[in-house]
Amino acid sequence: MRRFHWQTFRHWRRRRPFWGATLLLLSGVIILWIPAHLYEISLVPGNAVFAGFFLGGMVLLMGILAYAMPRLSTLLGIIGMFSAILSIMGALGGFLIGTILGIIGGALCIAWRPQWSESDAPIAHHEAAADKEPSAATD
Amino acid sequence: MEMATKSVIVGGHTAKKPLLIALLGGFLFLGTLLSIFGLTGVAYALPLGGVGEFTVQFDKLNGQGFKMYGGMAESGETKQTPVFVNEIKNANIQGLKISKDFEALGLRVVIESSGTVSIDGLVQKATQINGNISFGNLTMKENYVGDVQDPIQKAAQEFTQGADSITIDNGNLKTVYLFQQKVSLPGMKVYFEKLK
Repeated sequence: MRRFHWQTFRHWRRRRPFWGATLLLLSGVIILWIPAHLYEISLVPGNAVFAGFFLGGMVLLMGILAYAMPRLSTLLGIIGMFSAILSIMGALGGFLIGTILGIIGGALCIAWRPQWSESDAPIAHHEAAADKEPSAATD
Repeated sequence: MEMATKSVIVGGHTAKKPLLIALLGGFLFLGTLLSIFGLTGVAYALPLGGVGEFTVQFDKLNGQGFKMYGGMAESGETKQTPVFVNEIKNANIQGLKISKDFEALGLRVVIESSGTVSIDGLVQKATQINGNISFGNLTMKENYVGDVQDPIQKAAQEFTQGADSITIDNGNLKTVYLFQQKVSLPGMKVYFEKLK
């Protein structure tokens, strides 16, 4: 039973930029830690800490979306990495640790290439079709 | 007749070349941003707290939009310490020196700035304030807090002090928390001293 769960998890992990998304998620949590500790001040709109909340939230969101929408991993990686770097202003980039994790996580998401297969066709036959967008076949 | 086939992701791999380009681009952008801050000496939303009590010393402080009220804050020894909360909208400080003693290590960390430090949005929680202080348009007010339940809110609202301008000479403040929305530290120097 445990082995079955492990295999299901491995299968799920293979189909998305798992490590990139996990690092982005971790980075988002670390970046949010600073504005969360300055919440008294940060709730004032237009404040620099408010920007820290926004950017940290963006990194966290990109991590979650990279799990759910692996097709968009390149775009999500770029936005996640950009937000993590900009969070230096407003959240100190989670004492820089969050920013560095965000850069690595974002780069892993950008560089992840999915392997496509038509749902009713054998997988091995289409393994060579990596890096291709979903196709529309004509009859 | 046109028939669309549904493509599904069956796996994936990390391409090395885009990974290297993305990593390089990311760190380059970070380096550029940090060097801009380094050149101008400007930092945004800089908090300093949770390390226990530290000392802030300066020769002269000129500030506008001063507000002071009571509050509670964490310090190294106790979870809740009664403090003065000082808020200053804009401040210029000459001869700033921030130091923190780490007795267990026998070390003192000192942050010093040789130029005039300018700060926007300063929030500081102090347990002790020493110095020659002068105010412009000082207002001291006691407010009714009988219907306020929260003791921290009560302390913050009961007595407030405000002034349009404040000048402190030879200031020495025992601080537990410091936050600056924007600070420029020209000629900043960080060094360690041995405790005697």
